[in-house]
Amino acid sequence: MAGDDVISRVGRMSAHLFRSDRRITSTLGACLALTFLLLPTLLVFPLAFTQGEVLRFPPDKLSTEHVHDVLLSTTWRDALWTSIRVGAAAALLATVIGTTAAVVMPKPETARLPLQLAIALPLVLPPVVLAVAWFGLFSDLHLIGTMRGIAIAHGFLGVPFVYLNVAGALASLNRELILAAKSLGASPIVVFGRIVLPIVAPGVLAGALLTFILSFDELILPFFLGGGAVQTIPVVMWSQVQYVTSPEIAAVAAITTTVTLVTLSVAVLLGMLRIRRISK
Amino acid sequence: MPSQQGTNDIMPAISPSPHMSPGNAIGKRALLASVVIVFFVGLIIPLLQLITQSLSPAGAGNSYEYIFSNAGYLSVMRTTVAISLTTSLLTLVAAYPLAYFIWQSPTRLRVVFLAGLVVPFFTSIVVKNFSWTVIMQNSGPANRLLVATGIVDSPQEILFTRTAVLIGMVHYLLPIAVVPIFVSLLRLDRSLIKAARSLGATRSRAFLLVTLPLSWPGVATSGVTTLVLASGFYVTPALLGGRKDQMVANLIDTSIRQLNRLDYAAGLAMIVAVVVLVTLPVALRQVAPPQES
Repeated sequence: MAGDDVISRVGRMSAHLFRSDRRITSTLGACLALTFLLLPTLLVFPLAFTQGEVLRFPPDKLSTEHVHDVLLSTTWRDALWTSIRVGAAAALLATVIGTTAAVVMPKPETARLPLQLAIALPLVLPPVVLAVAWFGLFSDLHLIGTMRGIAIAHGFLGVPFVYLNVAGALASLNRELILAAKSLGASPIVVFGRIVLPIVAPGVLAGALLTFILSFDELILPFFLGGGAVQTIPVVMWSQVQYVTSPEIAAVAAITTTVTLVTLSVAVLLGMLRIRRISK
Repeated sequence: MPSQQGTNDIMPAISPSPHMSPGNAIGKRALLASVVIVFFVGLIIPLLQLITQSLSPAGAGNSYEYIFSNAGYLSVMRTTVAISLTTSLLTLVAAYPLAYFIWQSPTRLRVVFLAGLVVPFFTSIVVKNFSWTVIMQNSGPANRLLVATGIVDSPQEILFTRTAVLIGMVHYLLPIAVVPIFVSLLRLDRSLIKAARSLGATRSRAFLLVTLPLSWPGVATSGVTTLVLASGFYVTPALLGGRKDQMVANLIDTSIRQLNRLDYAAGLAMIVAVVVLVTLPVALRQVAPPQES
């Protein structure tokens, strides 16, 4: 049986070699994928500091001129302000609707499903379809070209995110805590304020921040429903980027990406806080 | 906890606190009714109005007759189907190994890679595509890399081609496609793979007969999701594609903005909505049984 032994040993060795070889290949592949994924986001930062008007990577010389100009330009400052206002209003709207929906969602599956499907619709339908659908309604209500209109549209986009976050938090809520508080004489308002709210709040805020990001980055809805009057950052960027790619756009891209990434980090931290509270 | 204190101050203003008590059934029902009304008036009715808008008398017939008899519109729809299917397939081919790698990685590496998915997902699509135009321009990094590695002799036209559109779309959809596959791998019982291996299955056989079938629901979910999302792309074909790469969303834009025909736009939007809403449940039902078993 010596032959078998040798064969199996050779087999094991080659398998080991093959495996370590495979590990290197797959790690390399994964790193390539990571580069592919992150490159377009990270590229805007060096590009923003291009000197002169020619956009190329890597930039020939670095300068803060374009970032400086963008931060001082009234067009971009107005656009940033518009984006922030629309985003904040959308986040507030999505928070109110999403939280309410999560709290009052009926228990039976037959009643639950249609409402959940309606909440998920803006996630699955392309923004263009929503834009055309809302065009009619918004024309009737004189909401075309208003910030209110865009905020309402973006609010619907954010509802599923708030809903999922809050419903998740509510599902993990320990019913016994509520019963205990009640049996000790706490009023419903006290139960809500002292038990439900602290557990749900990080989820609510995370959903609100995600809605803000969605709104901040959304192009199609303000482009179609804004009637040229609601100049958010993506709309102004889009009106230029189709014709020229200038270092100015790169600077705007870097600034808005920074806003997005900072907001996202806060949302992620809140999400982790929620998970930690649940696991305690 | 200070943060808890902070959120407590804000929350009552924006949440339905007085109605929250479990005993207050009437208040709860009223709130439920208002949520239903908000979605009905704000979303369902506008979507249903697409039907009447698309059928509103437009000279000879309704918009569908025009859409399905016009060679230009038909070719855009064929392009949309072709690009969506190709993108979806390419994305899956890239997403599975990536999800598998993340699944096999230790926790710390997992966090790095999951962050690598989240950051591009939340980067504005205008920003991402703007970056691609710089990367893909004739003197850009992509061409310099291709020439330096000897893959091509001279810089190629990448921008305004189908390739550029596919790269931009796969890049957008990859993070979204990885997540369902990763989740289905997480759900998978690793002892089944060990059992298969100990019973003499080779690595590849264990993968093909155990891992892949068990993670299939995730693959199907990713496939459907990418397909559905791909069908609605606007920015990428407009910015990275040429004239022949324009998709339905771009045609909807042209119909409204240049032709001033809301009925054509509504008809096209209706077609996309129906395809999406029919594909999703059918595909998800395909996914459901293996998940239960």
